[in-house]
Order: sequence, then structure tokens, then C-alpha cells
Amino acid sequence: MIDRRLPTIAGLVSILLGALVLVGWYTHSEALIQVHPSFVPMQYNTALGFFLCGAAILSLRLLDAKRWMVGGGLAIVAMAIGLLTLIQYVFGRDIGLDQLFMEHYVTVKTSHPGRMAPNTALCFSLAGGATWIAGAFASSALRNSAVGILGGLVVALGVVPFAGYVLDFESAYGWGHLTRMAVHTSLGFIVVGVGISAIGWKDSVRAKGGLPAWSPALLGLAGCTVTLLLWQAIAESESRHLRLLAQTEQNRVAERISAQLAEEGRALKRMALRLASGTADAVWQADVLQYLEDFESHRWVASLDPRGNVIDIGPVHRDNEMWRSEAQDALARWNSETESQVAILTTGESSVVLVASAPGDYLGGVAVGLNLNSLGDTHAPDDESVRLFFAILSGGTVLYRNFRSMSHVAGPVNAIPFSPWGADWELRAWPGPALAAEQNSALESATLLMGTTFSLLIALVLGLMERSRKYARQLEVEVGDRKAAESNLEESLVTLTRNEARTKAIVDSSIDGIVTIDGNGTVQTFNRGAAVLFGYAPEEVIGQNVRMIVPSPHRESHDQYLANYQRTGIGNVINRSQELAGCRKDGSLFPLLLSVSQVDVPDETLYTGVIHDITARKQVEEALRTTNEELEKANIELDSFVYSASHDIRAPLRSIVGLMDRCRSAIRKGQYGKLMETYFPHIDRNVERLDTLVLDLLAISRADRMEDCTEEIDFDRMIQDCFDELGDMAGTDQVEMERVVENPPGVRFEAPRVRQILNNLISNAIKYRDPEKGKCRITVEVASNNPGHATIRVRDNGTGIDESKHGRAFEMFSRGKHHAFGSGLGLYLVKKQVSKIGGSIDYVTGPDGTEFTVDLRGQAE
Amino acid sequence: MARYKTVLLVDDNDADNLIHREVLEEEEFAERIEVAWNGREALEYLQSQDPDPEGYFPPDIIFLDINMPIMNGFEFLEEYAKLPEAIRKAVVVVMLTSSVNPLDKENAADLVAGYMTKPLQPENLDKL
Repeated sequence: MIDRRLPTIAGLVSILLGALVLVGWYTHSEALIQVHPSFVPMQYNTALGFFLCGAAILSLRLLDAKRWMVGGGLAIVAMAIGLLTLIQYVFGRDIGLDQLFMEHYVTVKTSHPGRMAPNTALCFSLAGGATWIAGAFASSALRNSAVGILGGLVVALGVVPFAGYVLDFESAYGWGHLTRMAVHTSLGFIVVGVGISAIGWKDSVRAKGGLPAWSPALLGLAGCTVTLLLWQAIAESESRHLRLLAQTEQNRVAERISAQLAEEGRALKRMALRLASGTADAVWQADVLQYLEDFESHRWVASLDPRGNVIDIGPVHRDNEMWRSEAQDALARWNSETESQVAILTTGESSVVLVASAPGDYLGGVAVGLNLNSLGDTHAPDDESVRLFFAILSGGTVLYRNFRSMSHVAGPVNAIPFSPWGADWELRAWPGPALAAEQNSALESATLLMGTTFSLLIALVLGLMERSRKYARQLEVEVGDRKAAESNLEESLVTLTRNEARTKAIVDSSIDGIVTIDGNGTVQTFNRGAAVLFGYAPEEVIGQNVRMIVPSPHRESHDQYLANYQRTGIGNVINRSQELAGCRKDGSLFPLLLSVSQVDVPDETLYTGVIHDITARKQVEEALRTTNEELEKANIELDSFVYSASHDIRAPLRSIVGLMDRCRSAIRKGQYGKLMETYFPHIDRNVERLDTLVLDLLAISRADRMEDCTEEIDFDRMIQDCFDELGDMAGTDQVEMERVVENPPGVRFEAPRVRQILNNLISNAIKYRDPEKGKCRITVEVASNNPGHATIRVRDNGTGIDESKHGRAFEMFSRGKHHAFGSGLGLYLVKKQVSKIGGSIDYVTGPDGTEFTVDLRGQAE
Repeated sequence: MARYKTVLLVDDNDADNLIHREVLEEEEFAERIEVAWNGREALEYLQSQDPDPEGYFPPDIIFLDINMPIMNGFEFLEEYAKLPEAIRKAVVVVMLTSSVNPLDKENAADLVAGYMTKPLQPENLDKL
């Protein structure tokens, strides 16, 4: 739309123009300086300014921003020339700038030689400034609009004078009486202004696209320029019309005065004829008086002789002599022979002598002193009734004027030659206020006012339209954005809803209880897991204080805990896991693992507790603990058993070792008999003891693993078998045994265990018999008083059990008497088998013997 | 000349008592050797001083077994500690046992003058 080469072209044209005119000044080529001899010349400084401006604009295109110092300097110099010239105009001073470089020999329409027109100076100030701004600042809205508008202003200031030249309105290119702008100067400014404006336009378009925001201002400027031109045209046309009117009026005035003077001349001629016919003196005097009366402009009347000398002058007046010399001076320049019979002789300011001679042979004449002031009234310059200000001049001397002072009239003067009775006069005229008022119409001012207003309005409306378009575009973008945002929001909402549902599903599906409370302890959420754990429906708990699921003593203090934590930030619960108890709806407690975390959401703090039921774990732990304790106990028992067993095994071995030493010693001494009598029997007993011990240990070990095979027992038979088995045991020959047996009917027992019980009890009775009581009597009774049970009693008349062994008789390796060779395991084994069967054993002992009572629980069929 | 006048063997095992008696005699360790079959009997022996001063020979040294019926070695020591100072003053108690339980040796350390393992060896007697 705007050619990007415009600034370059403008710069080149400007340089060329400046250079040509400069060359013109140096070569005295008036065609280059003036274009036309009647035109105002382009001043030397103006040409320099164009050269500088052009170079600055061109440098903008050729140099980059960093090296633009030179271009900037040129622009500033151009601006300085303009500003300094303006200062000279404003302050009426001459600082010597005008003819600094060149003495001016062409001064057509130039108020100050060498000084450029004030509008030219203004143009350079603006153009230089705009170029400097364009170069010194980076592209921005402010810089671009400033450059564009200043450029436009320069164009406008160039267009108006140029149009003035084209349309011949001088006022368009000349401000008052000051120096006019040259025609090629105005053209130059149009080019330079367009170039500068194009820079702003181009950068603005590049920066933002579309029309620059300041383009309406440029349009307004153009409108104002057109208005100005229109106004100038109207003013010019009105001024021409006024001049025409004034000329008409001027002719009318000339005719009027000519007519008056003609009449006076004719009257004077008649008087001269009468005088030539020889009028008496008295008649002459009467004629004079009559004459003065008729024409008030006549000051005096003089009669002349044929040589032109004054014969008589009247009326009789003290100024007669002065009049006479006045008349004589005027008549000296009058030659009646060669000149017309009536003539006007100008003698001085407002003083004119009208002279008439008799025709034919000159017989004399009459002269009249005219007072031209009597031609009309003298008006003040502001007298609005005056249609025309005019003045009659003779050779530069004002003879008459209808206004007080020449300084009161101004403007274009119209002068016409005015020659009543052959006088060499000039009638100058200026339009008077009445004429101006008659001519003046509101059109001029209306055009200016309306044009300016209209231009500004158009600029304003365009600006607003552009702005509203911009807003509309923005709005469109925003609406688009909002729609996109709404769409996003909708999408987000769907995602959010889905996520929430998912989260809820996850939370709900958790086996663990998840409970959320706020800072006051009020339950916010209560998931399905929690509902299952506590037995409450979520709606029963949500909105209530969480205390209801917390058992004492924490229940009473829970609010306090929460308050303390919120005040101090110190607590024992947050971000930890701890084992606590929960209170179900039915009031029962259960162990739980609680992990609480703090959740800071906007405007509030929530606490989420994850509750894991650890009942099963606790049970397992308890079982484990019990097992562990049992194991520990068993371990200790085993330890003790191993020591005891090893001791009891070792003791006979060590005895045998000692006995063997004794044997060797005896052999060395040749005491062989002692071997057989003493040592060998001891060795035998110890070996036997060892054997018994090992067998008993084996029995104990088997007691745990004995097969559970029950059968009905014939106790009588079993007792007999036991006794028979013990047959080879020492002392059986001194035993009397009695059996009282009542077999429990239909009850089954584990026979091997029962047999072992009976065997041990009976063998103990034999082992611990009391030899002092003679026969060893043993009674075995089996009763069945209690259904499903069998009660066995084994009574002896032995030594009894030592009091100190009470309670310990059933322990391992506990032997009753020193001289008995028991393993100390018999009663232990009995007790063990009784326990396995499921029954009880006790005994009563005393000096008369011992009675064991065994109650066995059988399996009823 | 025997080192001690009277030795009291406290043991329930007659074989051991026999062996110990013969070893002590051979070594001429004591003039008299008395035997108690368990802790209870040993206590009774020590306490029989008053009723029968004629047949009572206060022991200079006691060889004490641990595992015995009725009253074992440790039970005996408990009761022994309660006896009058006069009785205990001149007596040395030595553990003589076949126990392999280290606890027994530990427990005995503060209570007795020596700890020996069966059977009694002549060279061990020299250490007393």
C-alpha cells in the first residue's frame, strides 16, 4: 500500500532539490533559485535544509541504528536551522544566520534578505525533529505515530502554499508581509513530508499490521489542509470581489468629483467671459461674493490680466496678500496660450487653483483658490459608514483624503489616474468598512469552522471505528478463548467427575477404614471399610464428632488433642502409625493400626485417618507369644533334662571307671577275691542302672508318640501280666499281691499307656518295700464308680515317700530312697501317661506305706 | 600320719562310697571315714554331736555329692549354713560329683572350698 522505497525516493529528491538550488545560488542561475522571476526565491538556508533533511532520511535507510549518529546530526542541524529562524521571527532579532553562507542578491517578496519564510522554518523544525526521532528511537507505537503525524504535518504545510501557487492565492504561501515560501520549497516539503510519514507508516504496519492507529489523525490533517485551502479560496474570492466593488465605488467617486469640478470650471469660464466683456468693478465684486456663496469650496477669486498677473483678489480679507502669492505661484506654471481655457493648477497640500481664461484673444481670466477638503467629510478609520477610503494624490502629495491618516488604511490599494481639467492626479482607494461589511459573508468562517470540525470529527469517528474494530477483534479472540476455556472447563469437569468417582471407588473399596475429620473433629468422610470395621453406616457418623468411634480414655481427651495440635503443631498422631483401639457401634473394642495425615486444602485443614483392623494379627501375635513361651519352657526343660539325663548316665559310668581303677589296684595287689566279691557286683549294678535308665528314657520318649489305639481292658489280666514281667526283679519272692478288679463295662482305654502306669506303680511298690515289715503287701484295686472312668488304686506297706519329696515325686530324676536303684523317671512317666490319657493321679503316704490313686477317663462306646 | 582325723563322705552311691573310702585309706588321708547316704543324713550326723559325744567324730573335711535322693548337695549346704558357727568352724567342704552341669560348679563356687569330679583321684587330694 505504501511503497517501502518511498523514504529513499523522498530523501534522494530532497538532496537533489537542495543541491540544485545551492548550485543555482553559486552560479547565479535565477531559474534554479526562483523558477520564475516574479516568484519568491528559495533561500540558501532552505536549500541547505533540504539537502540535510534528504541526507538524514537517506542515512536512515543506509546506516544501521548504531552508526546513525551522522544521520542524527544532520537531522538536528536541519531542525536547528528551522528553529533558529523561527526564533528570529518571533523575537525580531537577526542573529546573522540568514546570510551566514551566502549574500542574497535575489530578494523578491523577501522581508529579510536571506531569511527563509516562517512556514518554511516551521517545516524544517518538524521535518528535522521527525527524522531525528525516527532514527534515535526504536520502533514503538509512540515513535511511529509521532514520526507519521509530524511527516503529515509537513506535507500539509507544503500542500497549502503549493496550492496557493497553483490557484494563485498569495495568502496561501505568504504569511502577512513576511517572506513567502518558494514554489519549489513547497513541493520539496510535500515530498519530504511524505517520505517521513512513510517511515512511521511502514514501521507501524510492520509492528502491528493493518492500518496504523494514527492514520485517522493523518486523515484529519489532510481534511484540515483541504479546509484551509477551501477557506483560502473563499477568502481570496471574497477579497477579489471586494476589490471589484471598491473599484466601482472608486469610479463613482471619481465621477462625482469630476462632475463637481467640471461645473465649477464652467462657472468660472462664464465669469471669465463676463470679465472679458468688461464688467464694472462693482459688478466684479458682486460676482465674487456670489461665486463664493455658490461654491463653498472656493476660498478666493482673482481676476487676471492677459499676462496672467493677478489684478484683483477677493473677497477683501486679511489673507489677500497670501492668496495673491499663492495664485501668482500657480499661475506661473500656467500658459494660457498653450493650455486649455480651464485648468487646475496644484500648488500644495489640499490647495488647488482652478483657472479659466476667456476664449479667443486673451482678454484676461479668473482664478479660484479651491479648498479640496470641502469635497467630503473626513472619516475615522473605524467609521463603519464609510464605503470607500480614498485619497487624491498629485505627484506623491496627498491633495485630499477622506480619512485622517495614511497609516489608517492597509491592504491592497487600487489606484487610478484622475485628471479633471487636465490635472495629473491619482485616485487611490481602499474598501471601507461599510463595503467590507456589505461583501463579508459567513461563508468564509463557516467553511473554516465546519471544515475543521468535520475533518476532526471524521478523524475521531475513524479512530473510534478503528478502535472498536480492534476491540471487536479482541472480543472475537476473547470469545474464542473463552469458548475454548469453557470447552476445556467442561472437559476438566468431566475428568474431575470421573476422577472423583474413581477416587471414591478406590476409597470405598479399601478394606481399611478411611475417615476424614476437620479441625473441630467433625467427621467429613467415612468410607465403606470404616463402616464395616465400626458397624456404623456412614450417614450415622458424618457430621458427628469422631469421639464416637474412639474408646476411653482417648474419647474424653480427643478434642483437647486436636486443639493442642492445631495450636502448637506438636502431636503424637500426625504422620505416624500407632496401634490403638476402636470402639464399634455395639460398644466392643478392637485393635487397630491408625495412620493419620494432615491434608491442607484451601481455607481449611483436614485430617485423614487410615484404620487397619489388626485383630487377626494380634491373635496371631498372641498365639505366637504363647507358643514362644511354651517353646522357651520346653527348651529350659530340655536343657534341664539333658543335664539331668547326662548326669544320671554319667554317674554310673564314673562309678564304673572308679571301680575299674579299684579292680586294677586289687589285681596289682593280688587281691583277686575282692574282684568277685566287691567290685564286680558293683559294676553289675551300675550297668543295670544304666540299662534301666536308658529304657525309661526310651519309654518317656515313646510316651509322646504312642499310637492312639483304644480297647476294652481286662485289668485283672493286665495286672497279672505286669507282676509276671517283674518276676525276676529282686525281692519279688517276698511280695504278696491282692487284686480287686471291677472292669468298667464298655469303656475303652489306651492299653499300652495303662499298662505302663500299672507296671511302674507296681515295680515302685516292690522297689520301695520295707524289709523291716516282713512281707511286702501290694493291693491293686480297679473300680468303676464313675461312668466312663476307671479308678486304679495301688497300695503298699513300703517305706513311704519322704516328706521333703511331696509335690516333687512326679518330677524327672527324683528318687525316693538312697538305696534304691531307680532311674528317678518312673513316676514322671506315670504322670505323663496319665495326662495323655486324660486323668489324674495322686498319692497318700506315711510310715505304713503309700497309696497311689489314678483316675482314668476312657472312651465310652 | 594321716592329714585329717575324720572324713565325711556324703553320697548315695555305694559303689562310689566304696571307691572313695579305699582311695582315702590307701592315701592315708584320714584316720576315720564316715559315710552319709544323703544330705539329710549328713546334717543329722553333724547335729548328733550333743546327744552322743562318745561315738561322734566331728569331720575335718566333707566330700559332698550333688545328686542325691531326699536331700541333695545344695539343699544340704543351705541347711549347713544355718548350723552353729562352732560346728562349721573347723570343717572343709569339698564337692565331689559326676555332674557335668556348669551351673552346679558355678553355684558351688562360693559355698565350698573345692570342686572335684568323680571318681576321686589321689593326685587331686594333694591339692587340698
